[in-house]
Amino acid sequence: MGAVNLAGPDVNVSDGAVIAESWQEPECFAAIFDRYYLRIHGYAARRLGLSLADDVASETFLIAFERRHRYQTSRPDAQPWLYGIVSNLISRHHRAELRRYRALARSGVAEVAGGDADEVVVRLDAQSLRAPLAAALATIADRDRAVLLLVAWAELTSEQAGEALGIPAGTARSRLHRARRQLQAALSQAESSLDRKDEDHE
Amino acid sequence: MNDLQILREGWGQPERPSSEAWAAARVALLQRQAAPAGPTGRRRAVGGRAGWLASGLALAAAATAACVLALTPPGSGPGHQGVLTAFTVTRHAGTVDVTLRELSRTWSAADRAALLAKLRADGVPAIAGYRWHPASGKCYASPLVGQVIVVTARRLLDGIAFEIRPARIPPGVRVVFAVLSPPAEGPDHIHRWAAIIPGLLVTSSGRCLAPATLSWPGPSVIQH
Repeated sequence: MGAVNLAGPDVNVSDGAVIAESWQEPECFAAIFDRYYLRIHGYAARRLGLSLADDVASETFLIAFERRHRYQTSRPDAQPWLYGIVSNLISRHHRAELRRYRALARSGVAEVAGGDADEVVVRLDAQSLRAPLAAALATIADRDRAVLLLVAWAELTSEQAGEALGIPAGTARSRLHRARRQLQAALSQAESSLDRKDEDHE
Repeated sequence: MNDLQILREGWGQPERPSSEAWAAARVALLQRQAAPAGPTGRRRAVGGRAGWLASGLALAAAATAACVLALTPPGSGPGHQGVLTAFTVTRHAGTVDVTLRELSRTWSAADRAALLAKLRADGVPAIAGYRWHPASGKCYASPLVGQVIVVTARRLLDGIAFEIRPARIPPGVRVVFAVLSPPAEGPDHIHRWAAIIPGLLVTSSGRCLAPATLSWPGPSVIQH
């Protein structure tokens, strides 16, 4: 029947081992999809919105599947590799991404629908920062933003972000530093603006 | 809270994919996995429902319809390794009815072999199999070889039933039964899978039906 036993429960089977197995048994690659589709989709959705994210996330796994023989199976975690693929795909939608940030910078709240009153209040509170964040993201250089978002949203380390983007770790760190400086400046400005509004209100 | 945390939390959680998008992406991957290895040049990915349907139509036009009948049993969930253990196959004039009544946690090669033998004896060129399930720690060989065509399906209280018309299955086309267990993380409405994926199949007439036309429980989700 061709059953391949991998030792231990799923969590103990590294991505590298699964991908190595998929070289002989392509079906095994579905496990990589199952493990990471939602994260990859979520990352793409944050950057591009839901509609484009559907296509981009799907294509990420198709490309990954086709390139699985190139994966260095000594690497246990496939996320930098997958985020590299999705980042590359997202970069093709550069204009759409910027449009999204600019639109969010104007409106702040993308959509708040449904949920009970408390839930909506919490979401609105969290999203009060979205406009200045979006405005800042729209002004940060593409290559710096790519590192920043891999660290902030994909929760990669700067080294992993460098790996994902195919750049040296030092370069990733300097890009991250630059992007964070811009982000901090934008947040400070937003905070001052909010403080002024509060004072005016009082 | 530093700026990275603010960026993470201030932006809010991303919208989750619809179960349709999720299923379409997974089926696109299955389809790619089932395809014979070809040149390594970049092929246009099949993304989203429209891409999938367009692809399905193209495949049907080429008389190489490659579809997967995917089932997610009611009550299955993370950690549940779906296996066919109860089925009946009944031949009528021109049709073969297949009823899968339950899925157990134990893989049974005997069940699988018995189902296939029965189907083949009744003129259905079937293959069956299972997918990798993350929680199982096992990976089963692919059943997704050959070509596929489907069938009318309806959901039962304790399973799912299919009506297969062998005469409508073109030469070289096979019926695949592939059980896709939901991943540990997935859309909340995961149990709608069974409604969605058959809707993505190419029918024997080569006409694709949009998932939006489907609703469970209900009969005849795929028309011939």
